[in-house]
Amino acid sequence: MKPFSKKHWILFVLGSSLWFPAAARNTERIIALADSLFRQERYDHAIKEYQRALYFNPGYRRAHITSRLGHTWFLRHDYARAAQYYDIALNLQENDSLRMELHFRKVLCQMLDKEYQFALIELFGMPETMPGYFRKRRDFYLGTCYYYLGSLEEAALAWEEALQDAPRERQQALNRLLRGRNKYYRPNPNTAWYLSLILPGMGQFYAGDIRNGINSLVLNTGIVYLAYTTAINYTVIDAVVSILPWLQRYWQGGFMKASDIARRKREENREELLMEVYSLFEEERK
Amino acid sequence: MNGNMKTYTIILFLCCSAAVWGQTAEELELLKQHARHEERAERFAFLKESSNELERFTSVLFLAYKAFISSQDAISCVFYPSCSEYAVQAIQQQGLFIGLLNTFDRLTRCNALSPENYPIHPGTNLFYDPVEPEEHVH
Amino acid sequence: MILLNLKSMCTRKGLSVTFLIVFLCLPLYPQTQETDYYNLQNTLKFSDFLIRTRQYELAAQELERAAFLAPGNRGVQLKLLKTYRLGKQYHQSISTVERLYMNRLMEMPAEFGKEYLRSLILSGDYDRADYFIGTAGNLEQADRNNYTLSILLLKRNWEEARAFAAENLPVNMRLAGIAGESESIRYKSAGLALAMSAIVPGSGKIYTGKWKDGLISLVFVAANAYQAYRGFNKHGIESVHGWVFCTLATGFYAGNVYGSYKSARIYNNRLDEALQQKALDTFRSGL
Repeated sequence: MKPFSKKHWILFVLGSSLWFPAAARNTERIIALADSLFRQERYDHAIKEYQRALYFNPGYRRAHITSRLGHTWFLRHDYARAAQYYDIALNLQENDSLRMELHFRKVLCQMLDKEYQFALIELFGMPETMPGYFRKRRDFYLGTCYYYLGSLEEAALAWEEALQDAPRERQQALNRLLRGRNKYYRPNPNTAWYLSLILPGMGQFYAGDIRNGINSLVLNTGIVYLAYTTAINYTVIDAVVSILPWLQRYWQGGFMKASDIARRKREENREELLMEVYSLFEEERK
Repeated sequence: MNGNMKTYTIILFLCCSAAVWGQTAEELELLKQHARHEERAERFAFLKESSNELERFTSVLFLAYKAFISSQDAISCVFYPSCSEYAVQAIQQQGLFIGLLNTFDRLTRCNALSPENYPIHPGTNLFYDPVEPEEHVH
Repeated sequence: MILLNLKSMCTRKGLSVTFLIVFLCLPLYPQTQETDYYNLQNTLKFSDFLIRTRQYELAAQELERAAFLAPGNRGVQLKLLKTYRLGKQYHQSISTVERLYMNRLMEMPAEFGKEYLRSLILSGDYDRADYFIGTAGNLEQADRNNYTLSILLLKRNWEEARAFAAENLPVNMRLAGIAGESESIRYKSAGLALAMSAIVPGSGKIYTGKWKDGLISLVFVAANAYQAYRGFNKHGIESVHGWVFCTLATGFYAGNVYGSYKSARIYNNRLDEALQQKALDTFRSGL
C-alpha cells in the first residue's frame, strides 16, 4: 500500500481547507458579488458591497477594494472621491507597477477635477527612478499640468522629455508647435483693448471677430451722430447730459469686450494647440 | 459625452485589471474631452413659449437688443436673469401691464448697492431675482 | 463528514499519516463556523455603520432586507422609517407605514404614529397629518398638541398657533415660544407703501427699508420728468424728446408705485419665513 493514498489526498485537501479562515472565504464572496455588480455597471450596489467587505474584514484585500471603489467613483464622475480612494489604494499596493498605475489614475482624477496644482505635487511625489515607459508617461502629465497652469516653457520642456525617444520628425513637429512665435500668446488682449480705445471695433477686427467689430463701430457712430444732432437742435449741455453717458457706456464697452473677445480667442487657440500636441502623442503610441 | 467616457474608462479599467499596461490612449481621450469647451445650454429657451403676437414681438425685440446693443455694453446687469430676460419673462407670465410695471421696478433695482436683499445665483455669481418671488407670500 | 472519515480510517493501516493529517487540521474546526455577513445581526450592524457615515439611502436598502429577514420586528421597522426620514425619502416612509398598518392605521403604536406624522409633516402633507392626529388611537395628548402646533407654525397661521398654545397643555415650550414670538412681528403695510410712493416717488421703498432703491427711484423719475418738461417747454406738444422722456418718467413712476407695494409684501414674507424656518428647525431637531 502506498504511504500516501488517494483517500489521504482527499483528507489532506479537506483538512487543509480548514487553514483558510471562513471569514476570509465569506469576505471573498462579498468581493466577488461586488465585482460582478461593478461589471454590470450597478455602481450603487457595488459601492455598498465593497464597503460591507471593508467593514466586516477591514484588513482583507484592502488594496483591491479601495482601488475598485476608486474606479466606481471615477465612473460616476466623482473625481475628487475617486482620487481619495486611489490614494488609499496606492499606499496599500505592494506591486510596484500597480502602484504606479494608481498614481497615474489619481493624477488623472485630479486633472479632470481641474486641480492641476495638486496633480503636479502628486507627480513630483512619484519615485525618482522608474522604468522608461512610466517616466515618459509622467513627463507627458507634467507637461499637460504646466500647460493648464499657464507656463508654456516648462510644458514644452516636459513634453520634449517625454518624446525624447520618438522619431526626429515628431520631435521637430513638437518644436514647431511650441517654440518661437505661436498661437499660445495670440491674439493679445491688451493690444485689442488699446486698438478699440483708439477706434471702436478695431480690437474686435484684430481678434478676428468681424461681426462684433462692425456692431461696435456702427453703434458708436450712431450715438456720436445722435449727440451731434442733439447739440444742434438743443444745446451742447443737453447733448452732454443725455447722450454722452451712453457714448461712454458703449465706447468703454467696446474696448472691454474687445479684450474679452481676444482672451476667448486665445483660449480657443490654446485648446487647439493642446489638441495638436495630444495628437502627436497619439501618433507616438501607434 | 458620458456614454463615450464610460466605454473608454471601462476599457481602461479592463486593461488595468489584466495588468496589461496599455499606453495612455484612453487617458488621452479623456483629457481631450476635458480640454474641449462645454456646449452652453440654451439659455433663452423660454422664448419658444411665446403664445401670441405680442409675446413674439417682445421676444424678437429682446433678441435684437441682446445681439446688437447689450452685447456692446460696458455696464452689465447685476441680476440673474438679466433685466431684458426678466422683461420678456414678466410680460409672458404676468401680461403686458403688470409685466411692464415689474420691469420698470427691476430697472431701478438694477444696482449693486443692495447685496443684502438677494441671494447669489450659483451658476453666474449674480444676484438671483426671478420673475415671481412672491409665490410663497402668505 | 470529517468525523465519519476519521472513524473509518482508524480501522485501517496507514494510520499514522491519517492521524497526522487529522490532528493537524482538527483544532481548526471551530473557525470554519460560517459567519454569514448577510444575516440579521450583521445586516443591522452594517446598516448602523451606513447611518453613521450618513449614507442613508444605502442604509435604508439594508434595513429593508433586515425587515424582510425579521418580519414583525418593530425595532427594525422603526429604524427603517427613521432612516427613510433622515434620507429625506418621506414618501417611502409614509407608504411603508401604510403598508404595515393597512386598514388599521388608527391602531398603530404611538412610536409608529409619531414617525408617520414626522414624515407627513416634513413632506408638507398637513391635511393628512391633521386628520391622523384627530383620529389616531394611541397618541398621547402631549404629542397631539405638539404636532398640531407644529403644523400651525409651519403653515404660518400665527394667530391660531398662539391661541392653540395658550389653550392646550402640555405643549413643547420651544414651540410655544415661537408662537409667542409671532406676536411681536412688526409688518409693513403694503397699502401705505403704495400710497407713499404715489405721493413722493421712492418714499414707499424707503418705508420698507430699501432706502437706496427708493432714492434711485426718486432720481430716475425726477430726471426723466425734468427732461420731458424741457422737451415740451422748448418744442411744444410735438416734441419727440418730450414724449420719449414723458413715457419713461411715467413708466418709472408707475413701476415704483407697484414696486413699493411688492417690496412691503416681500419684507413681510421675510419675517414670516424666518419664524417658519425656526419652527422647522425645532421640529427637525425632535420634539
